[in-house]
Amino acid sequence: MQPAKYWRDNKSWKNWIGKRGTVVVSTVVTVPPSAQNTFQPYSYAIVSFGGERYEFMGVGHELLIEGDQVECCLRKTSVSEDHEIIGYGIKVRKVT
Amino acid sequence: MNIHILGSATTSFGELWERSLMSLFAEAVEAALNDAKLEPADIEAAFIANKAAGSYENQHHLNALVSQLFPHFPPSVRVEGACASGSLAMIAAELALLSGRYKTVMVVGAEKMTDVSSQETTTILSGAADTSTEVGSTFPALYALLAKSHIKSYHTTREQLSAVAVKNHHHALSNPRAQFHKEISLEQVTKSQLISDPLRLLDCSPVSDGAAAVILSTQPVKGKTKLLGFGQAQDSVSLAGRSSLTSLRATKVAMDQALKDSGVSRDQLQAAEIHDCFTIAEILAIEDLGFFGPGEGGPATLEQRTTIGGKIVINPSGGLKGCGHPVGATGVKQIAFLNDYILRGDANVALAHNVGGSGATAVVHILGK
Amino acid sequence: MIFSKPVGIISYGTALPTQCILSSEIENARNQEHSGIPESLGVSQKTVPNIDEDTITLSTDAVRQALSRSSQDSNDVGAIFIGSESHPYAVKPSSTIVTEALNLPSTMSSADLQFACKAGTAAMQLCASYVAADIHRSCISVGADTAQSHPGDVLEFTAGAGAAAYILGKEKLLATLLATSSVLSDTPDFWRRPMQQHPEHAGRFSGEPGYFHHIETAAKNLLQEVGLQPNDIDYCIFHTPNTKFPQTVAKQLGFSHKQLEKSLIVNQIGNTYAAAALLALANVLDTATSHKKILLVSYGSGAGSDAFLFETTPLLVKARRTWTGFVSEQIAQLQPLSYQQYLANTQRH
Repeated sequence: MQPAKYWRDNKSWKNWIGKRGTVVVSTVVTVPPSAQNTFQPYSYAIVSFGGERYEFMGVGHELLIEGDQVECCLRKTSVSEDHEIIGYGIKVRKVT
Repeated sequence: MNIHILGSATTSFGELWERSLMSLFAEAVEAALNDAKLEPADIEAAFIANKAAGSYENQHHLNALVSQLFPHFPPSVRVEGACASGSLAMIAAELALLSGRYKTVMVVGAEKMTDVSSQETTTILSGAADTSTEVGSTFPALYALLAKSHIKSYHTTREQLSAVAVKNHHHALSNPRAQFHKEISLEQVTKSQLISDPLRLLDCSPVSDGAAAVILSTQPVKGKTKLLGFGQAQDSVSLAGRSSLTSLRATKVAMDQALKDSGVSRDQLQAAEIHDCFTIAEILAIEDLGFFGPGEGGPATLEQRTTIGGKIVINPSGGLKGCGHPVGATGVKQIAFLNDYILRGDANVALAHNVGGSGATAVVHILGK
Repeated sequence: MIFSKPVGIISYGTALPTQCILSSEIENARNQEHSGIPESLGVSQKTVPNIDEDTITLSTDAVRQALSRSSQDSNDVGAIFIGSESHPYAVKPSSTIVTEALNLPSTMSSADLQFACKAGTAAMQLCASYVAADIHRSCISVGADTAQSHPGDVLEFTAGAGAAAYILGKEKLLATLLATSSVLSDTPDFWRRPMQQHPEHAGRFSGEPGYFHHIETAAKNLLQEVGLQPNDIDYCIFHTPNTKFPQTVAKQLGFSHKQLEKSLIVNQIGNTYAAAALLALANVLDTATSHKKILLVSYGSGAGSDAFLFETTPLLVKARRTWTGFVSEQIAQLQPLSYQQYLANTQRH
């Protein structure tokens, strides 16, 4: 991830962390793009926040299904080499 | 619209290790000129379709590279719209002809995808999604979400999805240019590697190299296929921004435009090359194009109503699934294939449907005698 | 140092990963079933960070919980210090990322701290000092780690992950900080050089000259300063590299098992390094009634100890009634992994 892009993106984290929504539909990615290589399998879902929909990865290998109540949190959203900055971003996890 | 197809050509599609991107362009250009019995100098302008040469091999400025395949360096432009690049290049050419600026132009699309690993291809193709709001998405994942939604709404079955792949592989057997010349069974599709549930490996179109070219003209000619009309529509790039997850609105709008533009009615259409990047994509398409009602696309496919002898032949070339999907070439290949199909007398009126991304861009062309 | 002005904990939060690995699973992977090692350490399982978790994400979760429980405006927070031995960057602070994620003030004092397992309590001391000196109204201290160990090393049974965050302030205290003191010495019992992925330890040398000497010294110094005896203390917390060490030092100092037992979550979460003493404190605070005295003594290899004397207030009992996510609840939700999954999760991503 490029530093300038990371810096633009991190401004939006505070708008998401802690926000809760409902999974509309979800799949499990087993063949990821290189930026998410080694994260597989991970859930990828459309989540409704009071009617507005957004797409997020699920945390870790957590399985998400339609109807799950989820909460936004800060996690690594891409893998990085030792010389790169760490790609943090927003993912969703099940609310327990 | 008074545009004729003077000639067309398609290279073989597949893992073409000996072929470079430019050699694919060159082959398609030369073969199309031969088919049309034209000289290079007859081409007044060239419209190039390619999605991702910049990513695959850091090659940009394709318009100039293709132009230099002609001794006279015709003006040329590259058009990109993800997997709809080919049909968007067609529209650019059509508008140039309709403006009166040119009388005879060439559209050529090509993609060279197999030099990199499949993971790199997954990464490159994922650039057709909204990379800021669809982080971590892949095209199988996005179409898997559409599949799951369709399954939930209409009880579309695993078998019905598999039937799309089986049919298109079967159709590909009679297409000498197709990537695959091998029948597959419902069971093979169902048991293939899980990519993004519920989509499996054999639900997905392959990674392919290939090129296709068509020569379009407003010159009056007899006995040639005519482009009767076209339509183009857009929608939200991200799935989250769509009004429906069980149909592609852009396809519906583009179809309505094309029908109106051409004056053709839906039931006159006898064949269609549609965008089956994934099996679910074909089911969505045949419903959105209005050939079958919502939820009926799966049963129609399983009941063989979309093959030869059925209501309408869908993807007689083998489609993206059976013929292959060199991304930039596909939209042009659809036109090239249907040109030959119509000239052979296999259909009088046919349709080409090409989609960009998960449905943000859709183009429909109607061709006929 | 005895505080003459009110200063103490105004809120706290904790974050554990949702996964763990059983010690028996590690034994099986080594073909060492019933090795006796987990029993001698007193650790039956440890937390395992997920593939996309690290010290920063766990710190963010812990601070967020602390903020959500706090009665005070986050705009009043004047400083944040995060102590860890697994900061994701050698150069680029964890604290700025947590600050950005949680929309904390951009005008805060801040630094990342390292002092092995006592980096979190060092952060707490700094925060208390800022508040006591009236420099800031409130400050956030965090102890967090995603500890690493060589496969096959004994530390593999204990190196866990977790985070604990404490907001220190001067008003509406849940627990008053009465006094704090520290000791340190150059004792090379446990270390990691910059390019190494896993730490090294000096075996039994880490015990007496390291852990026991520093904790006993710090505890005795503090109790002497405040004029208290072990039986004046309701809860004692000593750093938990395993269960045996705190049990031994408690006994040597004259504390009973009853005073210690609430702190021994190490059996279920492993050694969470810079978070360990602070997570143990959180577990005590999760159920303690008011006016209870808590002695906390951390230990960081290399070496040093921070000692604290807290007293709970009635406000703690009242505030807890609306809370969720207690340490015991997070422990109860831990899902065990296979050894293979554990290795996949703990490789560098």
